[in-house]
Amino acid sequence: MFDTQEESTENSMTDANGDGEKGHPVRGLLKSLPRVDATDDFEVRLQRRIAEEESRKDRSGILAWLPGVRRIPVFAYSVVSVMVVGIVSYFLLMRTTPVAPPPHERLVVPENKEEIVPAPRVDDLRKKSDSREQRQRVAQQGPSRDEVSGPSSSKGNDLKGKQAEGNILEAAKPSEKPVTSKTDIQKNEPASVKLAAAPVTNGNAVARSVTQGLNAAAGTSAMYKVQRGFSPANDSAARRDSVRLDSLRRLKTKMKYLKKKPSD
Amino acid sequence: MPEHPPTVKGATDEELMSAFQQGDATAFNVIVGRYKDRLINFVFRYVGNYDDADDIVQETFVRVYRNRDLFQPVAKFSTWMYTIATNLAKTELRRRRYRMLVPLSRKDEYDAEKDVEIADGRYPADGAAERSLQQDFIQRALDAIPAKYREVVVLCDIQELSYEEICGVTGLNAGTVKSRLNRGRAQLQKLLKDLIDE
Repeated sequence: MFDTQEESTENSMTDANGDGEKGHPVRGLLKSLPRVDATDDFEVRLQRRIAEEESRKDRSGILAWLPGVRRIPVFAYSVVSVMVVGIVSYFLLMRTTPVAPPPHERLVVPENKEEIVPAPRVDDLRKKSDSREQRQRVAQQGPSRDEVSGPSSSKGNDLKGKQAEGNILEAAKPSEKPVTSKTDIQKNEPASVKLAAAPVTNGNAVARSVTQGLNAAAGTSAMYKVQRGFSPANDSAARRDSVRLDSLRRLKTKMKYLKKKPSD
Repeated sequence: MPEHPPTVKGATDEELMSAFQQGDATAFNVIVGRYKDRLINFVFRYVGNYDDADDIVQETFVRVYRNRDLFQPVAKFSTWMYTIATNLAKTELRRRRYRMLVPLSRKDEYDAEKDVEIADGRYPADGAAERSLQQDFIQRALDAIPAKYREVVVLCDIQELSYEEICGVTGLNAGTVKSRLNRGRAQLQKLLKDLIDE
């Protein structure tokens, strides 16, 4: 196979320098062209040019002892500067850009920002509930049930706690519209929801559970995130802890069962 | 330029070059004297402009001077010189193509051509003028064919180098050189049909 079309014609051609080609009309015409000679001062100009070249070489030879001064291309500096800027900006961006949580841990944030209402403070809610009670009392114009029953009985205390919880929840209802669904909140903070649903034993415990429950139920996910220092890492750590606890509990029950078994 | 000693004058190019490599500056002057006209003629026919040709040949000698140590005595000196000149001429042609400029001297020639084409039989041109016009016509035809053909045609038909030398200068094999020569001549024949018919 021939590499080029020109070479493919090689075999079919006769020798161009042969006798047949010597009388080629074009060749005769080209030979008739007069010879063009160099000007008289050609050699003088050449000498001058060579002398300039030599002097330039000597000048550059002064800096020859400095490594890399003479032979660095012009664009090398710009290339190096662009690389430095790129690397620095990359590391700066890497430091400032937050790491996105994995998709299953992402929170649902409402598009409409007006929907995000800050979670009510416990004191405010208490005040609200108190004023509401007072209003009710004024409307009824009679002594309150609390005053009659007295604060010392544990049953009454329990009832009071439950009532207060109900009142506070009611107070929280009209002003807040939860941004995320219930399942979302449970998914994000299962521990707090569990705490809120824990059985109430005394007044302080009621207050605590109510506070946490309110925080979980009434607060938006965004606000809640701020209050509790939420982060995907914390959330996953909590989950891991709960899973470990569950497995430990299961192990404990198994151990108990195994201990009991030999005696049976 | 000083007068050279007869021993230097009778030496071959390669001997002169080796003398120059050993520090004999006179040998270089002899080389310049031998090759300046040849190279000017070749480069002028190749690039079609005298000033460019002069500059290219000057640069060729400067390069020979600068890179004298790179020359190996096994190679033919003339081939080395022509190769340097050809490469510089090709660079010049490439640069010209990028600039898309027509030199003023060439423009004048084109303008002159228009005048020539309007033939007036009442005033026949004298022999010298006619010959000059014919030479311009041939040079323009040379400029019109592709550079790769022109290079071979000039080296073969004007500089009268052998195939072997042309192969050495161009770096092509003999088949490609012959093929290009034939194609170049064929194209020139078409362009110079009127002159050949006369």
